[in-house]
Amino acid sequence: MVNSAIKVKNLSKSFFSNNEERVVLKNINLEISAGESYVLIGGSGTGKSVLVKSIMGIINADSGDIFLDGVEVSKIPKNKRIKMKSPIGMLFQGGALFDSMNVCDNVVFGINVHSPLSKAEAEKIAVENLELVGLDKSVLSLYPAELSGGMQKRVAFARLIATKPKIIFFDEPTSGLDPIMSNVINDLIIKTTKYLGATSLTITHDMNSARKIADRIGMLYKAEIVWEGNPEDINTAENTILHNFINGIY
Amino acid sequence: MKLINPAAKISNFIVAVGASFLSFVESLGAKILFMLVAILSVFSPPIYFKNMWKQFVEIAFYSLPIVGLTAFFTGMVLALQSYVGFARFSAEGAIANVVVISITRELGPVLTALMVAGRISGAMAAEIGTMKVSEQLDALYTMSVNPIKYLITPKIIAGILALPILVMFANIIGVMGGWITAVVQLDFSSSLYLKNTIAFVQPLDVISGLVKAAVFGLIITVMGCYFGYFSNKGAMGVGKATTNAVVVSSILIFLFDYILTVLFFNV
Repeated sequence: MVNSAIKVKNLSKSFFSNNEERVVLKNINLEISAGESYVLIGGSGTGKSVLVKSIMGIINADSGDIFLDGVEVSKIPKNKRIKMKSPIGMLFQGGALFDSMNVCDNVVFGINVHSPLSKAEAEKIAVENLELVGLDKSVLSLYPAELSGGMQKRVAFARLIATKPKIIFFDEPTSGLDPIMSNVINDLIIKTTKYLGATSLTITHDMNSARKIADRIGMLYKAEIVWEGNPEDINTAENTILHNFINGIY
Repeated sequence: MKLINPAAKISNFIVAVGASFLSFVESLGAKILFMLVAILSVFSPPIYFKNMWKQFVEIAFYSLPIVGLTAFFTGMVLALQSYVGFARFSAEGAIANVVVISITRELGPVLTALMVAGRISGAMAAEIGTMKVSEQLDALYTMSVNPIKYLITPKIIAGILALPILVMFANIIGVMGGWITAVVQLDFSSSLYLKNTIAFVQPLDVISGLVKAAVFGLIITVMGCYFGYFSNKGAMGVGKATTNAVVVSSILIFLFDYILTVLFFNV
């Protein structure tokens, strides 16, 4: 039996504004096996990011249990969880590079902040990881503002790989990129998860990306997962919501 | 015509006042809690000394020109105004005393704090707000780094330490400004002016100013960090956070200046 790397049981989350409750996640159940690439699709504002941020502990869920690598993290207080050696990594939608640091410092940040590296060590690690994402050392001294969107994503990838996470979350990895760069990023997702032997959960509404990188796809709609299946089943699935979503019918 | 029941009108007014009061208390509590969490973080490892030093340099060193300039002109104007005013009852000789006591007790700490609030509080709110909007705070979290400990605590500690140093500098420059005006423009004796200054100033005058400065440093950095950390998403949210940080810290500087003056001088 394959162990679950990510397991979510009955996860619910609501937000309140002007005394009105907005249910974003309703009794979500999700189980992703170790080494599996799971892609969660769904329209904008359906709660995909809230689900991922709840799993990561950035947002506190209202109820439900979350297990990462067999550890029930939802029972651990946020301040204690942050001190734990985290098995997780995340590629943020906009890269989320630290704009006060150059590329080298960004890439090694996750290591350097816990055990300071010498300049030579930092550069060596940064170059190694940048090479994995197709960048050379000429970018080391540049700042995020000096990079294109695609390069920023690749540097963010390098930063992600440097900490060698076992569970990776990709938040809209191809959004805002041209088709060629989107393909480069898709290939990088496949390559890095394989290189690290990691489990991944990707949220996207880019169907090309979903088809390419997923072992399994789930569709989130109105706070619930309404369909789950393999990428090859997606065109034949008898689910109107899924059908409408992939064909852009509203 | 629709008649409004006076009782209902009063009741609505009381409800509105109550709601405003509750909202004020809630907001005050949130700020105090935020400050306590950030300050208490300094007592548990890891402590980011490098970030603290960087912030200290940013606040103390890079504020020196603006603080120096403000103090210098304040000292000069104070000497001139005192001369004109005191001449009415032939007390021009007291200029040195007035300049030194005004600068060390009040103008040095308050004007320094206001200049630093304009320069630092807004910048901190903008920096942290932008980091929040661009998910850099979340990125820290994913790398097992506590954003409060890494970003906020160093700024607050640096503010508490930097402001007294800046105020000490402002005191010296301010007194110098008064001395230059008195000697060059008003034909005072240089040695007599300095003698009067040194003889009149009391340790409590300087100490109270430095304590005020530390409190103002705390206010400026806590407000900058708080409004940035809880800013709404988008450029408008960050812009609003920046304005709020400067406005609220300036108001609090005046409020705490009054409270500390009462406490120090038992008036």
